Amino acid sequence: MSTRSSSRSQIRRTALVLAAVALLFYLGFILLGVLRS
Amino acid sequence: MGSAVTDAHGHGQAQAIGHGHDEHGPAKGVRRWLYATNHKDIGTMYLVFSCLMFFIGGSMALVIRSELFTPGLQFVAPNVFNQMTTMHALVMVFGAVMPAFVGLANWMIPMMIGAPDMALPRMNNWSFWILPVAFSILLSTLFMPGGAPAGGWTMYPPLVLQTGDAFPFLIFSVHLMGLSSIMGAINVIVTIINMRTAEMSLLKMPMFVWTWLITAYLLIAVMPVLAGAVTMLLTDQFFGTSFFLAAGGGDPVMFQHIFWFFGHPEVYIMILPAFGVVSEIIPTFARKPLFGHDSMVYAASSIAFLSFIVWAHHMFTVGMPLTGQLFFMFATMLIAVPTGVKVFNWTATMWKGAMTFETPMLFSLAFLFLFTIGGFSGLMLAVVSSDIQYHDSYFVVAHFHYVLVPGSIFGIMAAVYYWLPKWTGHMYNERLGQVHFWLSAIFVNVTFFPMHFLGLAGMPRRIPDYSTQFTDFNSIASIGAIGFGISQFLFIYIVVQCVRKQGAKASAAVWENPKGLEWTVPSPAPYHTFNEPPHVTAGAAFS
Repeated sequence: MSTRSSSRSQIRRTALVLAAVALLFYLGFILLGVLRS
Repeated sequence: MGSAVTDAHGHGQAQAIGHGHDEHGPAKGVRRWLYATNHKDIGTMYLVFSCLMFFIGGSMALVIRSELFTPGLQFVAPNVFNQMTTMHALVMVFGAVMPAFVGLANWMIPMMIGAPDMALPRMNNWSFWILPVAFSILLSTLFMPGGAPAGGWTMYPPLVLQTGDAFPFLIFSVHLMGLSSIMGAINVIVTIINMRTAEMSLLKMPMFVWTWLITAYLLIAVMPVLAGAVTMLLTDQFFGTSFFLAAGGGDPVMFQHIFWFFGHPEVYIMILPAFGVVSEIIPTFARKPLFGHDSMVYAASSIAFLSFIVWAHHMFTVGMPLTGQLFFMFATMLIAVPTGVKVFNWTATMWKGAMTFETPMLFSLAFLFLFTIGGFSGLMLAVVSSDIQYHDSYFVVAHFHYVLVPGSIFGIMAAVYYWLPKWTGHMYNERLGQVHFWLSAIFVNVTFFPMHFLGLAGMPRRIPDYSTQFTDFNSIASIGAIGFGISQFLFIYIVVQCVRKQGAKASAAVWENPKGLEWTVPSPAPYHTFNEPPHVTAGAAFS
């Protein structure tokens, strides 16, 4: 748990990790399609 | 409760609010909304947008119900009917229910966790403003040659590939909706993880925050899957690929697997925040703490996990190995366990409580009873042998409308009545609120309960005409739908009346001893809520 004093970098890091996960799901499922077709 | 919050120097909350560099009010005119970064302004925009979409999607439902009032073709051509069913679903799911919960999240999460705003306010602005663009594109297809998409919201190939000029617009708008949802979900998670006030450990968070945290993870996991599926549809149509085209070696059933890998968690994306809302409201009006707070958290997490391993129960009739059928049947039935924990806990919260029945509580109680009916019919559909009988019938339509209307939408209405005095600083008209509740509760059942009988008698879904033996129940359902639609104008009247400050002044707590940080700030909540991180005392803790 952190407080309002959380650094911007922490916020940015969490956001980037989540965005990367989303991108991974997007590309991963397209790759699944490529491998299956 | 009222003194639960003090700033770091021991001053009362009201004092803390008055200080700080950003105590200025909102910008004037259209700039306030166009460049909005304040979580309350963005929350308001989401809620207004959702309301607009609710009426647009609702008017499409009334076209459907008018056509089905009697057998034969009355008002619209079959193709237009199919456009209405498709667009009604897309507008209601992505335009009405999801944005309404994002609006509630924007308004309430920062206040409930003691944060000054959402963590990424500019991205928050983008998340919202993408939505009107996406829905302008989608709704514009109604006026295109060939009309709007008509192959169902599930967009199954090869049928969806027969969509005319509307096809690329459908795909582009779905991508935009997904982008908006993902950005909103990132914002919610980052805010909850990084910006909670000191002393609010994860298990001390209110249930609405918890359910939204879980929902946001679901969104991050499944919206990209939907985007991937529709990207592949796009390339099949325009770039010569054969992901789903059997003629080119592709597999149309794979689309169904991918779609429902998104689609089933999507159901929980639309219901988990409603669970959170009800978990806030029932303790307030039962005047007891929520029974089993921690078990509610674990139950919601279990539901989210299970939602990833049940998708093929939507596809039993497509054909799959017996082991697959058994796995998906039993996994689906397993969801009844954590859901049962939740229903038990809500009931136990009310047990021997000093209950009163204000409008938010009435909607929450209706939610509890009617959502459970939807859950039971879901269990019936989980049984493979039965599902083969019920599949694509009006029984399915009855089932998911019981989950989504008295489930999700009653949850949204309960939330609006519960927090409206906090937003506006004034009470809504309680008598009219109760009239709205009873009209909604009666008409929702008149609309959807007969659909169970229609489905069991064999009426298929997505048809503009039907055999005469289905006439009576269809006429009753249509009367109910018109009544439900008209009743919602009363909701708008009540909300507008409250926003125009025509009700009594609301106190900070609004209700009798509600729990949570949002009730410790004045009503209406100040434009910038917490300039100092508040402390959570024992009285405000949830666990």
